[in-house]
Amino acid sequence: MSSPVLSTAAAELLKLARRPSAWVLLAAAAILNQVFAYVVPYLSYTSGDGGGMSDGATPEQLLASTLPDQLVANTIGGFAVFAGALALVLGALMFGGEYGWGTVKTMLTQRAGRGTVLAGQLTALAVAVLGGVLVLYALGAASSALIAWAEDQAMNWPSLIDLAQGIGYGWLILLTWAVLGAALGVTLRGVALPIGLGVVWVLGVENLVSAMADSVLDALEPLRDVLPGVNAGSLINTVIIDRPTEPAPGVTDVVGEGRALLTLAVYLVVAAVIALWTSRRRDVV
Amino acid sequence: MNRSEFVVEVRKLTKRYGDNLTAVDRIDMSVRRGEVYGFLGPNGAGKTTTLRMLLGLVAPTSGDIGVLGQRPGTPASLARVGSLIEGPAFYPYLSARHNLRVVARYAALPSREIGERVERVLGTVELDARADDKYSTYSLGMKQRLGVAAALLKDPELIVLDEPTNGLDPAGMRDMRRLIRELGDDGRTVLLSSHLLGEVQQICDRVAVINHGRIVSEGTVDELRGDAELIVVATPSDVARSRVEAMQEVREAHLHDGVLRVQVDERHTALVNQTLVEAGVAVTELRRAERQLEDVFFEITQTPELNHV
Repeated sequence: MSSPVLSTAAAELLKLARRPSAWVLLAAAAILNQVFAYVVPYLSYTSGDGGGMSDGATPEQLLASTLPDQLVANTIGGFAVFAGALALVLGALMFGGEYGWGTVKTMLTQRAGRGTVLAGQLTALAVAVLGGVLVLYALGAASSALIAWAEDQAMNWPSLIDLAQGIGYGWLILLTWAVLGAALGVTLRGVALPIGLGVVWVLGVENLVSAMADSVLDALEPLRDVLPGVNAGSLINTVIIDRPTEPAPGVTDVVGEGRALLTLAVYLVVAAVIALWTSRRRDVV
Repeated sequence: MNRSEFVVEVRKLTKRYGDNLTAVDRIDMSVRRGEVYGFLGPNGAGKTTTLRMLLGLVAPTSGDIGVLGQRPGTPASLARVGSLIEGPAFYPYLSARHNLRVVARYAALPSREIGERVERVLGTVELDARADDKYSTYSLGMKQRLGVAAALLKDPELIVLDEPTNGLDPAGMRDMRRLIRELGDDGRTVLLSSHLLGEVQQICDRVAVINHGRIVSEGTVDELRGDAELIVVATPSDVARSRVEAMQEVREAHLHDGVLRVQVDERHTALVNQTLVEAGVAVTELRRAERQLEDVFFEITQTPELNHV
């Protein structure tokens, strides 16, 4: 007999590997990352004048931003907003979808208790997100190596420590968003509403609060400093070094590294506890 | 009877939603090991809510439940119970084979056994030919059969089936009934919820009838149907009735549309005939007619009082 948590995680990964929407999300994250981190800067560089899309950067700076030593910055740069939103959608799909299809009763009548099932699902989500992060890093490495080779530039890769930190922070950021999506999916017992609310929060509310705190209403600063997106952006900022161009949207320096790590960890744990508590106390009707 | 012979024991089980809706109202129910137990009732009577409580999907408001000697919904209980509750629910983008593999993983079956078990249950419900097609392409009947296959995957001691013949064509219904009966004959316990009286009458050993959240009758099908009636067509019919009513052996007799219905033990049938002939009554028809479960069902579900057999 297998461990119920690992067995449930295996079931979830089996489903996820064959779920078209999971691959669409990964493809969307990869395309966004490749387009904004490599394709647009490289085309702007080859056009010779920055193409009007480079915020004043010189062609040399644009080329430098696509080279292997910028792998961590280029990959993790979009995690605060775009990839974060996609991770939230993944969490909502994985957990809320069970209610939409009624498969939650199939899942909960096999063997494992509700806590065990949720632990297995979260384990699978963590593995899937890590897989996604590694794929994005691999694609970024391939693109930067290709550009360096084409432009006869040096292949200076980040150190293993920097790379491991970049992967770890990226994993934490996306997993936090994904578990927030999962908690919404379980709490609202569906997919559409959690995705709608989550995406509005990530892309709209966070930016609005940050902008207001930065410009017209200082009183909002304490609220801004505990937002998950702001903390994710601050964490990303700590691993971006010697960036030749402007960082990606959402990357900020309002919170220090330690606090950002702690805040994201708290969001992760609280979201998981909310999902567990909700799942255990409600009837499945 | 030894208590361990009961696979399911329910005492004063109640489920209320809010202050106004009592879905299940202090029901008692016992399912014996190895029997096919019918749970019969009209739509909305409380059948599915009761089954959901047996599986731990719904928490009771009060009362006690024992499933295979365990609390409902615990791993120790669920590992030995297969179920199909309120229609099958699977992942539309997966094939039947992959859906069953997923269910087997949720059931924490040993990895080395999963392939063999999946193929076996696919064969049992005759889905092997379409096992690699996506679930979303299945007819309702195929989905229902996949639900039964999933219920059998754990090789369970108790199988809980909620309306398993829903959506099946007549041949599919016949096959499903045969399968359920075979499961019972195999020594498994089957708890079958249905609103199809003929289905229950054909395959169940014992039956509980639930209405408005309360068990209104429980017993074997024969016990529920009661004694057979004697149907008599005779002329003149009013003379026939008075003669029959005068017999000590007759409990009750009703004349309706020229047909006399007599409540009398089977062994006195010949005596009824002899009495009528000696009275000069011409008997043109005399036969025993068993009451159908349908007659009993409508009788007891329209009677608010409890009627334990």
